[in-house]
Amino acid sequence: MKNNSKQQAIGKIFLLLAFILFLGFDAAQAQKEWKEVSREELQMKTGKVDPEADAEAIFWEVYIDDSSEIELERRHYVRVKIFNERGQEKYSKIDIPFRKGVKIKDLVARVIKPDGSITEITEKDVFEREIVKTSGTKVKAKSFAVPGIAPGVIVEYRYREVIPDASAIGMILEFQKEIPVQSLVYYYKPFSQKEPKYYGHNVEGVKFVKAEKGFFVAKRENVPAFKEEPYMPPEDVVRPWVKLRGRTYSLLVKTALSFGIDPSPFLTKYTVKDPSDPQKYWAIFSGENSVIVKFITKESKEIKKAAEEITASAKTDDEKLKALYEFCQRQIRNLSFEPSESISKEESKEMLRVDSPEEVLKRKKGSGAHIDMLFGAMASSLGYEVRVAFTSNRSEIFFDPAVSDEDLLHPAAVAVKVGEQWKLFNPGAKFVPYGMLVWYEESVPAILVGEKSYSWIRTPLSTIEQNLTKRKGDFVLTADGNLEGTVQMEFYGQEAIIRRFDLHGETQSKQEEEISNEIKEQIKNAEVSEIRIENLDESSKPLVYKFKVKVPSYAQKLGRRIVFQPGFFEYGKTPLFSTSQRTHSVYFRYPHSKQDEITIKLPEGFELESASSPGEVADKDRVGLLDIKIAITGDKKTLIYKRNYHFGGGGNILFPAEVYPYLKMIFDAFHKADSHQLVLLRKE
Amino acid sequence: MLRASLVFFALLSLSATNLAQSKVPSWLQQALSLNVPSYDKSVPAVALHDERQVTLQPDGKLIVTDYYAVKILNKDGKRSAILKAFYLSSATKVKEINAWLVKSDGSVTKYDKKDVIDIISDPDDVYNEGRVKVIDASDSAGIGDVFGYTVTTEEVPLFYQDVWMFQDRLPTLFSSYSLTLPKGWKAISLTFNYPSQIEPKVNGTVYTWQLRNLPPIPPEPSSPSIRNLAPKIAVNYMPDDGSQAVNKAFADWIDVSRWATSIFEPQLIVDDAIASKAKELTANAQTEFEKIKAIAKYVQNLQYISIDIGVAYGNGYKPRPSNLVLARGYGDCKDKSNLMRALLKAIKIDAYPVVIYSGDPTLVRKEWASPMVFNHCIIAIKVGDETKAETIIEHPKLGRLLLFDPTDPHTILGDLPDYLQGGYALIIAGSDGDLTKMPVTSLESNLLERNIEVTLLPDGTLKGKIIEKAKGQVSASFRREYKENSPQAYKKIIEGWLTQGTSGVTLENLKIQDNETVFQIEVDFVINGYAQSMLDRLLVFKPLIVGRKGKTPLTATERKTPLEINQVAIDETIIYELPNGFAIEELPEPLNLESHFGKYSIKLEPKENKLFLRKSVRTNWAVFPANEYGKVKDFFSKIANAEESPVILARK
Repeated sequence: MKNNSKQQAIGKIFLLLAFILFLGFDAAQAQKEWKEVSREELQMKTGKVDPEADAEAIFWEVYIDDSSEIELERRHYVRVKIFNERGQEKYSKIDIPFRKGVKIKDLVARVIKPDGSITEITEKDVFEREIVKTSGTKVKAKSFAVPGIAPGVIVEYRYREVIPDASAIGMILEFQKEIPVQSLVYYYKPFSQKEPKYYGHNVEGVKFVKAEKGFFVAKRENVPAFKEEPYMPPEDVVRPWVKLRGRTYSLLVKTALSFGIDPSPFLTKYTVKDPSDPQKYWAIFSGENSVIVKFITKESKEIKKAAEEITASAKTDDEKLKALYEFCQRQIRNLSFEPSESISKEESKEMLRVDSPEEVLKRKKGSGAHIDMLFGAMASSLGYEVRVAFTSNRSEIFFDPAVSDEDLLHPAAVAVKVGEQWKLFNPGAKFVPYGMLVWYEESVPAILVGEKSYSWIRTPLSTIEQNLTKRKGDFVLTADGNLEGTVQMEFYGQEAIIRRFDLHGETQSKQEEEISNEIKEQIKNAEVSEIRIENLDESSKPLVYKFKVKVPSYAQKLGRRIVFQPGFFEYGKTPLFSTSQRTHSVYFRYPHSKQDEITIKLPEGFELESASSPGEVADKDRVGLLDIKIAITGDKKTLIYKRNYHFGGGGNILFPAEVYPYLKMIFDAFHKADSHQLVLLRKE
Repeated sequence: MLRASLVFFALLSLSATNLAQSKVPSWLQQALSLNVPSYDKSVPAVALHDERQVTLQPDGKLIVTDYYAVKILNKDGKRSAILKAFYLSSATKVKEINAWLVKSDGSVTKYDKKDVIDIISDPDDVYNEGRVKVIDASDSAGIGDVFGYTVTTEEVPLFYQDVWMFQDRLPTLFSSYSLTLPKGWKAISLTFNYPSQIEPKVNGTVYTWQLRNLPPIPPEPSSPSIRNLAPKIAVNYMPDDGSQAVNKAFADWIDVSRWATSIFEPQLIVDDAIASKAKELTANAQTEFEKIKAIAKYVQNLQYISIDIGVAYGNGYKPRPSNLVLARGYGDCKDKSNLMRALLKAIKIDAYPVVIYSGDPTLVRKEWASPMVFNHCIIAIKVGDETKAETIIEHPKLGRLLLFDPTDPHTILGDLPDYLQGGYALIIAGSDGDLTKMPVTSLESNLLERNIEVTLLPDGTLKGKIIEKAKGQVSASFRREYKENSPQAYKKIIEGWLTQGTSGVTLENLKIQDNETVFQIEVDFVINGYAQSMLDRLLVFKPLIVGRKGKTPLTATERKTPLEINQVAIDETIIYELPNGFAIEELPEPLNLESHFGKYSIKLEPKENKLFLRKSVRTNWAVFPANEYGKVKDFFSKIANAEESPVILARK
């Protein structure tokens, strides 16, 4: 017995030793996992992907192991060559942020000089920092300074991230980094040894193919660094990425809560969506969200009575819907657009949940979503077919329905069928006028979810005529070059919506200050006074600014002459595009137009000399147009300057990088015409 | 009816105040009852109560409690409804933290520990013990609401010194700093940025300094920093017999130098590695200056990395050992200065660390000796008579000292970053060290020479070449811009610089030469339609092509704060070859300005078929009182107008 016990004890010791040795072996193995550094890598002087790069990743590898039921593991291995001081600065410190619960393990890093000598980071070099800590969350980072970093060295590091109770589904894999990468590789081992499901964006030819040990590999080679440019499409549109997919489970109660309606009927209901079949996917999505349509279209005598009263004098569909829209937008208090300080605790609760659209009508207040529901309920009560429109956000992504990904959609409007056409309405967005949507919900695919079916449409794009800015200035120019007068600006469509959103919630003095600053940003020495804002809350009317302005030394005096720019509203502006080269497409948010009318009373004793008008500047398709006409009154005392401008004609708002030189040329020509100067000559 | 309504509202407001008073501490109740004067509409908020109570306990611990209440006056003021309490994770205990948001209807929201967000103070450092506890009520706060908080911390003070600013930019109705000391201790204070001495009320060993009704300090262009504008006191406290004050409170700057020397000196290690590195670096150097330059360049190029551990125990002032910094190849400003000292020592050149305030040369004042006023470290190198540079000072005890900042990779040896020039800094050299005025380099050593030769064609096209030669601090800023941007990004910057004045620019060639003394930019360009043709008879163009002053930012009609003018020295020449068949019709008048703000001249002269423009600007760094604003504004407005004036050519 004893012997047995002894044997067992010895056995245990051996097991322990074996375990320790095994651990030691594993750790040793880990240390040996550095890949060989080639002579070519050591001696690289410039980047292979980008010869002007400050630093270039020779490889950037991520292993995503989702095979475990209890945790997700990601292993990272990055090797970077430093070419100059900027690269040195960028890689002098490495931060690995991680949230509470995540473990960063086996972090190792080293620096290899061109002569092959190696400096490794030690445990003492690595600091764990709590970046932010609240009562519920904690974000930490492991950080280390890279020893001996200098141009010419290679920096490489590896670590493991272990994330408990996590899945790789929904993860976005970046296929472009902030530095050029020679080989950017993702290894992925999906749960239950299944084939990986994913979709890609801007990653033509990138596929997960079977690799060793249950992993699939997707690779991109010679990837240039990502660089931002002004007027480029949203970052997620221009960057390449892959999103990992899989079956998802949705609780209907979550859907109900997200709309702020009573969740109790949906407590046990859920759906399962498989992204591999878009048609089925969207059908299930539609079924899930039909709960909100049913909620809206449930018959209600009170709603019907109110809708009939509101539309009593309306004859056409358009008149009826407009009357309902105006009622919902103007007569129901929109709590989503009120400053938090004016909302009581009771009202805050009401914003989270209503039991029926009647309740919104009765209370005469609700969140923006509740107001949309009331509008839908009223339209439905008058016999219109009503659906809920989900769209993507064009400021973030250009969505394609072939991609079955509900994360890219949000409820945007109520769809009402008028004749054979669907029209979309969003009275819950306080400043959006009847017949329009917010710009980022325009010109995107919308899924219209009905009670029993769904359909796709493309939302309309507002026109140059709708997004109009009218500016009128009546000025007097003095002989010493000062310009003084009154200005009126009217904003329509998206121009008004954006400004209303910006000014909303500010005190009057602050709103005035913002308008004054807008002028001063362009004309630094402008003195702006007596500012008035009209129709700020009335989305059906243009937003109007009126003010007085004085600009000392607006014109330059030269001996017998005065030189000045009659285009006051464009004075001081710089050309839209300054650089000659372009990588990304050029993107404007929406078509827009401007109409300016300026009168300038000329100083006594001066007359126009060699007066000329810049005339019309336009591309052959008239996507962009600028037409400036200058005239003088019969008594030759007052100059009349008229400017018509538009851009985005024919709905053209996205231009490939190849046409940039042409686009730049057009905008340079616009700038030139806008900077047109006139000369006044003192009469003899 | 009107009367009845007013009564109703009065009752309503009374009940709101009562509601609040029952839920907030008494100091906040008192703050809520203060009458707020009317301010300019741009003032975002008003501090109703700003108080710090400091108690030094007999066990040496310092208990600090802050009481603060702010009333929101406009939407920008919502940002004031944030509590930010700095602490050192290794040494400070945040014992209590509470905040209240009192809405204008009298309702109160209380915030406490569970609402705290604890963030790292400097995310750029590899490690920094500095952390900030934040309670953010800015989303919930509305106009008319009052946000108040108290924070109590406990720590062992590093120094028996403190600074209290009675306000920031906000108007402040009540500001108080009180210091409770153990028996047998005393406190003395110095006043800054206030017309008279702010005297404390003394009750036993309790000292209280107070100010009321302080007006706002508006942000204005070219204004000194708020630290140099807001009234403040610097306080020293110590036992009557001075026994426990050694290295905690300082009688004078020599005292500070002695303390700092004891911190720096043990970290200066010259071992074999240091000696061999110094030898290697200076192998080809002949003169003293060349040797120092070789070492300076090496240290300048080492990576800047800051690791702050043990700050509360004085480690914030202590460099890491010089041999360690050499081995790891990175360090912060004091590490670099210390390494440079060690490398110089290895070749038998003495040097001293110099602590300085980076960013505002007027901040360090002679009157208050304290290590707390510094945020940067540079080096003073003892040099012989053969070494010449504008950054050499003659020190009464230490002799000729060459000042150098090894942290700035773009300022060469013999120059000093402009933000370090002209102020006071402490040379750390035991009893020989003292507060010393830093050198100011001459205008001519910071000259920007711009020479442009262009041809104007009859259709208004301008083509030509710009050569800019920058010296001194102008070259440092050009060098920084060049080195911190990729070639592609730098080209975009230059294109943008040319485009500021006009459109249709083509940059044909860009060449950079940097011999370390002069940074030269050479640009060949074409600008289509630079001159505007009028009915084919007149050509109108602005003769200054780049770097036009434009409209001055000094547009306000009045000024509350002093005005800072930077050092500028520019000489510019433009030679225009005029288009055939055109003659000059109008030329801008020459402008010559000379005042104590500076000198400016611009003149255009035609000669045969050419037009010569000569411009010269000289302004010295200076701070002018607000009452001189009108004259300064006029000076710069005249320049701006002159630089916008066009030339008119007429067809012959």
